[in-house]
Amino acid sequence: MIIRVYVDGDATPVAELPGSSGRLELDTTAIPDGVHRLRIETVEADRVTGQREIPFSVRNGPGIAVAGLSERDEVRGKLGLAVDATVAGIDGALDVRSLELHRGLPFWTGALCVLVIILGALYLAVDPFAFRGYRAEELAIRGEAATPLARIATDQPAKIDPMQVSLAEGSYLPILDFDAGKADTARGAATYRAKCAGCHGDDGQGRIAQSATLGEQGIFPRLAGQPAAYLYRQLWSFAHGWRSSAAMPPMADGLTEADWADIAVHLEHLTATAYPPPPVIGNDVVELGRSVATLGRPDRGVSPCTRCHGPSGIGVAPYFPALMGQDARYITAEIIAFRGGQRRNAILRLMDPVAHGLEAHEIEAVAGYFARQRPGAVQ
Amino acid sequence: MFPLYLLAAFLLAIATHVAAQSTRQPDLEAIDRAWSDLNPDLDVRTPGTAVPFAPPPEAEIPNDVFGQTIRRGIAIFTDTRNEAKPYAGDGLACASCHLDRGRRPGAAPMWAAWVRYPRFRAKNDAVNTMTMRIQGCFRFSMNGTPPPDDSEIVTALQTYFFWLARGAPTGATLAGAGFPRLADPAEPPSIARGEAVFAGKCAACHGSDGEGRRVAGGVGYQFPPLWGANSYNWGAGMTSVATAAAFIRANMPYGLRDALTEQEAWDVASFVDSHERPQDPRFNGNLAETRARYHDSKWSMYGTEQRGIRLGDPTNYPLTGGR
Repeated sequence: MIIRVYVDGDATPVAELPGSSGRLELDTTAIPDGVHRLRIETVEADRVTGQREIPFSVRNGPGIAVAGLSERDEVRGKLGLAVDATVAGIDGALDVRSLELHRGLPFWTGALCVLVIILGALYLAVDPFAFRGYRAEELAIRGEAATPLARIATDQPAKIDPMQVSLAEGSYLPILDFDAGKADTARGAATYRAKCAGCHGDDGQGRIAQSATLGEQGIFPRLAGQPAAYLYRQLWSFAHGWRSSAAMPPMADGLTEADWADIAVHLEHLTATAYPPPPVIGNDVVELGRSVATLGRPDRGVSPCTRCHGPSGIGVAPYFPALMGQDARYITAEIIAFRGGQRRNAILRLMDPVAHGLEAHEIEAVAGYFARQRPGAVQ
Repeated sequence: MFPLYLLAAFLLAIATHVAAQSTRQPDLEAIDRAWSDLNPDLDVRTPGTAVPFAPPPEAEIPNDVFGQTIRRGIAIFTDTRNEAKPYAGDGLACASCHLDRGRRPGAAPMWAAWVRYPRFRAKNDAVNTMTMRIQGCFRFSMNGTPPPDDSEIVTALQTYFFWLARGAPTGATLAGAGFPRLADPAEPPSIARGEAVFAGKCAACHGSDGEGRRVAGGVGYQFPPLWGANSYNWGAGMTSVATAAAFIRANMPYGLRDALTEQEAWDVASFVDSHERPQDPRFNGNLAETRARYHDSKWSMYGTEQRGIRLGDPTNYPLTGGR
């Protein structure tokens, strides 16, 4: 078999390849610019057995740009045209000057510019942290709580009655099925060691540490002694989007519901022992915190924290976690998360009115108040 | 030398005084009369031409004996079980119903109650005092024993109430008094619907069997038990479905407003009050008679049968309270 390659209607082939395949070089400079076709024939015993044609165009000469007349334009009178045959040859040097555009930018270029400008302005106007996927919660966890706290004053007008919370189906997380009796604490302990202890500490006492996920200094709350149903609810929430955190969802996600239950019951059986040094805050701030914690701010719909979390924030099983001796920055961050909607898993959304009704300095004070509490001694 | 007979007389006087103090028992009949007569009127009140009022902030409690007595009153009010131990018979505290330490409008605030006493009632032709009223609460809602007149407990509580009502016009009906009365329900209250409401919106705090919640290691209740041995007895005003519905609609779930519709409040109130609880201390041995005398209302389930239990049957609970 022979393969013969022709250009256009030439009688002599530009190449002849023996066998059923091969390579050839087509010199397009030998062909005038314009539309041509490549014809390939296979020949067997002087008989053409197969044929294929490929149309192509050659442009070795300069490109020709015309400003002032487009295809199928309707024109009248005298027409001023600019013609430019750009030298972009394969041999000569590139003549940059002759490459100047001679016609208007296409519409989409302008639209794209406007879009970029609008998005840029939005990026600046909208919370750039939220935009980047960082949230007030993480900021506060990293000890930059002052920033989101300062924003609280202006972030949204106070609701007329923060106590009016919609409990329409789907707007709050109902009580989950959880049977502590079915949990395997030994398995829970093993899973905890493997998956959780790295950040929350071997005994679940919580710690301040470098976060593998955040790559930053993180505050990991104490879990030891927290009610199992509460802990299970949190893991469930992380996995199902009722509570967000940069560090937690992947951890909660990789485990089964049975794992969550095991871990939760294991942690409930641990006791809170280690407490970080209490934050140093002024007496007036402690008093403000105590007043918010025990009396609330009824005029703004804020219930006293101790009404549900127990005296000194000792925690009330099965759903109200201990706040006693928890890191103040963590408590602050969570109140902000309830306010911002990153955390929506409170029983009957009971934290909504609290988070919306408190002022920034009150949040800081009440977080400090609970961080100072210790078992058996009201500070 | 000091005359011996003077010393003897002095000791005798002290002994007589102590004896008189310890033997002065509360007048149960008067307490019951005041209770029966005032209860429906006080607990479920329609706000009329009410006078606006706000109690003073706690920061203004003075630092003297008066202030100490107020603080003692607050302690009794919020932790009745421990602070008034011999007299409290169940897991409740005054503040279980009189929310926010008796300050909250719509939850029978004490500043509004204070200016309504003493009350003359033509019906029983008697003057009913705040003391009798407090004693009634201990006897029925607390399922306990009325503290003696002018006991330290009654004095501390009344001092606190008096201070809360600072500047309020005596005899006025203040805005927020009692529980805001509800119109009769559109549909008759349904215990079955109420059970569903309870499971969804009440059980998280009060427990799936209304047993309340205790703080770990603590003696008191964080969330009060709503029926059973540690809850209010059959003499309490809250056993009226109308009273309970009014309280629930205005105040529950704690911390939210309008989280229950009026119908839901009626339904869940009927569910709560359809459970057995400690006996009415006025029980005279005959359930039908006691019902006719003290519970003759369509809103009381006392003496009726619910879920196979005859409510108020003396074999269900031994009489523990109201001594």
